[in-house]
Amino acid sequence: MSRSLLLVLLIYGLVLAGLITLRGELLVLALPLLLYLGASLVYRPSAVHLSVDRRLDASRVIEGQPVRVTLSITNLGAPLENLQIGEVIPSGLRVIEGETRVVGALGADEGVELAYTVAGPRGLYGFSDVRVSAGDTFDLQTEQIVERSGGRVFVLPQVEKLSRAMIRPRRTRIFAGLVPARRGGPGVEFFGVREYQSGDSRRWINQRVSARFSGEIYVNEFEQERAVDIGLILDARHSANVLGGDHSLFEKSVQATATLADAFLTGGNRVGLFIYGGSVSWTYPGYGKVQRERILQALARARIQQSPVFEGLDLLPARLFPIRSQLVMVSPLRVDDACDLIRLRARGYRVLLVAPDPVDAEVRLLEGRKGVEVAARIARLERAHLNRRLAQAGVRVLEWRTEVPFQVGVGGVLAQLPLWERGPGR
Amino acid sequence: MTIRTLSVSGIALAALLLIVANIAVGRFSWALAALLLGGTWLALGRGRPVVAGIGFAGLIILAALGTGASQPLLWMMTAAVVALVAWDLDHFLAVTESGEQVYNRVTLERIHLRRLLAVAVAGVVLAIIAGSVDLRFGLVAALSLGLLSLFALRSVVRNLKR
Repeated sequence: MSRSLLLVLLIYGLVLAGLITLRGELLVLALPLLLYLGASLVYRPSAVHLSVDRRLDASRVIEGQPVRVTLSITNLGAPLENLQIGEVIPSGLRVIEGETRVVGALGADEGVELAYTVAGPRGLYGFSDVRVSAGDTFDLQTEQIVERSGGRVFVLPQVEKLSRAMIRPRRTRIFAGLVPARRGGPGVEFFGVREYQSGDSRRWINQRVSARFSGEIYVNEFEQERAVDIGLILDARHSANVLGGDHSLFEKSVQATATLADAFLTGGNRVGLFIYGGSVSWTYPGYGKVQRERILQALARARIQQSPVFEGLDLLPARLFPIRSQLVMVSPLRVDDACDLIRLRARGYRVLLVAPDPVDAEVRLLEGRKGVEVAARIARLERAHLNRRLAQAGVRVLEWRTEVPFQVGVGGVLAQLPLWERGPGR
Repeated sequence: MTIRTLSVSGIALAALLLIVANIAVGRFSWALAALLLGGTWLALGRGRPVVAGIGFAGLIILAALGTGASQPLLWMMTAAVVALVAWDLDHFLAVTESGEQVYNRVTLERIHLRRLLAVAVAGVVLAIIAGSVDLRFGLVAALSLGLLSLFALRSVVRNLKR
């Protein structure tokens, strides 16, 4: 019950009781309450006219970094004797320090400032509302207003720096990069020997081969290094990511995708991102820092999705990616996904699977329970079989035990090509 | 003297006035009721508007019953006014404590206390004047006035809602 209603009921009760019992004392007793109510009517605030301005010291931060928010409220109307202002913090963000509620009296053209620091997990957070309550001195009549002042902050996933990420798709682009292109030309790695042509540097002459053939000179040829098309696919399916007890590997997958995107873009490649699981989330391929930002922002918004349609990987729109390009899938993978990956490989894509290890993560969750060891052994065997099947089909599988950092767990393996992918003819 | 002290003193004083008045005329059950209401309000009502509302309403009802039991009007009037002041300050304290920052605290408190004092003094003075006036009317006039007060209060409530 509101205070004003309680007061009105008391006054009415006293007046009615006084009139019914014909006792003036009861009417007299109602007078101070009536005066109190009257004063609140007299001193109630006129039209509230405020200007609200919200400033954020950063529009993008890495997970764990704080953001300083400053909210300035200026009274553009008549003085307000009783003003209560409450900032609406977007769900997910937590206030580390500072003030989000202010109470006070605000004169005409006077302003008040709220400053606070927030931090939160990966995501896109939009600030919008500020709740304002302006009332009379006795707070019997209040006017509730929601002022709007925009502002948003991207909390991007953490990116680890990889020294090198070696891939070798069959198709390369014409621009220089770091991926061996199976073509002779300027480069670092030895590619072959050819006859000397006018303009070749004398330092390239292969003395041994030239000595075998009198009258002819042979020079070394190097393998060109070029940029490539890379399609990153992040698996956001609920069924693939969520373990027992609502624990999820998705955050690890997002982190791995961000790290890989950063490494590939640093190598001068053209990278696109597709988040698979429900609604279509496709970041068109691009180069450089702007693309890195686009991908990180898409990853910041990425959420686990549950859709019966996208339970399997069979609806993965492979045509989005240039034929014979490199696909990098980040997924804990389900056993029945193998066929779809093998099908991608059969269509000519180079497929690299980075799999946060679900068995290892689940064992850590269930540690100490009866039968976990045996179950883990069976699950690991099943997993090893799945990986072997994929490897036999030409899919490169990198399992990541998520308890160690990505750079430590996968970075080292990723820095060199597997034996079967090395060599100019592969 | 802080607002908190004023509020606590107000609750204690309002309850005490009613306890003393009721003990003086031998109504021990009413005195016990006043003690319970004041005690509950003091113990549990801080920052709980519902408990504070019950405490306030209870003390006002006891004051009204006291006037009906031929206790001194001025005494009951003082108890009601003090209860009103305590109820108001209790709420004011809760509002200021809910804010992590209180802007212009001194101005806020000064305006509030000045207005509250004016209302309390004017209420007591008006009540004393009204108490000395002797108006006599019959049942029909009383019913008419009751009807009038009904409409008047309805318009007040409508105004409050708007």
